[in-house]
Amino acid sequence: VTDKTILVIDDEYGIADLLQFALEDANYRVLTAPNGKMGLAAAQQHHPHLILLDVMMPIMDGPATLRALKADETLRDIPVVMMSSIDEARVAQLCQGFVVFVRKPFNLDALLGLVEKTMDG
Amino acid sequence: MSPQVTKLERLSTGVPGLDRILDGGLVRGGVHLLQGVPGAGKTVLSNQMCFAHVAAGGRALYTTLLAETSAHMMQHISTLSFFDASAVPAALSYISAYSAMKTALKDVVKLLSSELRSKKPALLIIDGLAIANVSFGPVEVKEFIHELQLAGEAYGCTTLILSTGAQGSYQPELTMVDGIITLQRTLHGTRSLREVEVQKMRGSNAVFGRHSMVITGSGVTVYPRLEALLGDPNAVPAPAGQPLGTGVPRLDRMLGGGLPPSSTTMRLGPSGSGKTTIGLHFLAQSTVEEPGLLLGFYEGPSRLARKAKDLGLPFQELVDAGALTLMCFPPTEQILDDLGARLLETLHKQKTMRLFIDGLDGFELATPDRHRVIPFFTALANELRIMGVTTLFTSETPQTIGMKIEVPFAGTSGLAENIILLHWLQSRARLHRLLSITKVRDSEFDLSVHEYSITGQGIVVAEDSTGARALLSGESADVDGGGP
Repeated sequence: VTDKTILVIDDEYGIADLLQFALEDANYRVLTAPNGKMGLAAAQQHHPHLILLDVMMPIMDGPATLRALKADETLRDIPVVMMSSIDEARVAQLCQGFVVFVRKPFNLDALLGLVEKTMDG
Repeated sequence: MSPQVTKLERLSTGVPGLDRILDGGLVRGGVHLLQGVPGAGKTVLSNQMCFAHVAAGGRALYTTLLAETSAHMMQHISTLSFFDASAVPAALSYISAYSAMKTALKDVVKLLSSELRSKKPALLIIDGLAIANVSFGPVEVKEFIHELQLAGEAYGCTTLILSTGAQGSYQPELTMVDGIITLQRTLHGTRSLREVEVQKMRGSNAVFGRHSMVITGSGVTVYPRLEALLGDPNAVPAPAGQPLGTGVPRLDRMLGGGLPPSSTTMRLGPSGSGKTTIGLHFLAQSTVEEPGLLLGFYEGPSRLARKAKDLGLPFQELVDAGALTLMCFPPTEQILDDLGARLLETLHKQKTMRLFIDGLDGFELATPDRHRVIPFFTALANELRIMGVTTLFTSETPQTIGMKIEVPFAGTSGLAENIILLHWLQSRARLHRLLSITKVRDSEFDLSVHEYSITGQGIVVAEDSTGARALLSGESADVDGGGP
């Protein structure tokens, strides 16, 4: 296991689990949260190296979570990959220009490649 | 003084035909159950409601418990014309409440209450109740529904819960909800038909029972059972006006002047007896002021126009002038109530006065339930009378030769005010056509049997019944050379 931690914030049953299995297989340490509020708390507590963030979620959705992350100076530099079934342009609009994006349903190899690339900088 | 009755406020579903059977839509603020086996159309129907609601300026929330992922669902829904990507997620959000449900159903209500408060949807879909029934006891499920009702009332949100149902076993939610809509898919021979049934709808005059439903690229369309909605005999006005000519002068005289206005006439006869030809004569009398419409099942518009032309009837000219409309529905894979709805829509639009339906059996083939044909057609005929349309329809008898007439559907004769019988009669190695009238509304009519023929100028009815009398008494030698 690497010393890199990834936080997956997604409400849908199966998706967070699937990502956790795949990322752990790729030697990452993985944390999951079912909504933005819990995800934000986990980020504040663990300071992950990357966050995979769903757009549509209860309690606190992806765009609101992203705004909260960017407003927190201890978290704003953590790279975030947005995930959604809605298209990239719409997500970019909702996230005020944010562009690191993966469309659901995703291809795991492509997602892992994107994770690696984003983490590397 | 009669007590004042309050009608429950409704939320339109936006699904064609569905509001009609729900008495206006879902009960606003109520909790409803939409159940059906996998593939019955629950997901399409509920998504269509959401998109219709947001298109009308509202907000909706689609929540899954343990169902397909929203990404998977949206891939499918995006192929349907009602899908609007720009509505998601601002006006319509898809969320999962499964994590909350893993602890307690109460936590789902807590999560949903929070969502109702923040997102303010007026329509909430909860997809996948079956898993709650498996994971929790009946009391917890009832509490869940009760709390949803309270939350819905508090936030002005109408809820629709999707479930596969549980045939034969106790479903606690059934006793709690305000409405139950069931989707079914049944196989009739090799044909698969969809139906929607309103089983419960509190405080409304819903049209209970089953109704046809189709799913196309536009989503769901519901076809309410025509006989359950239309054709109230009390609404049929007293007949007024002059008889309408059939286009066959001798037949008009036999009828006592023509067909009574706003009446329904049945032409009953075997194949080849000229049932369609008489109908073409009738429609050839159409004018721009009194337009006509032909509904056929077997012959297309161009073939009918050609047939009319061969009889010297100017169909194409009438069509071009807007005096005549030709509609043809192949008798395969039709939906009975769709046929009725499309016919009535065209009649209203064209302000039709003369209608010729070429083949009652076209309606029979459009339903797997043969017993529906007579109630359906009775309602349709009453509606046509209310609209002031004079209708002529044909029905084919099973026997081909002889004076004995067998009605193909029990009760057919009761729905027509006028009945014209056509016969084939064989005499001395030659076939003869005979015509008789057995019923004309409020009119004296010719009781004698007449011979008729089909010529290049159309139907020609013998002036008197001499030939027919000779044929029927066996003295046909004179007739062989002396027909009309």
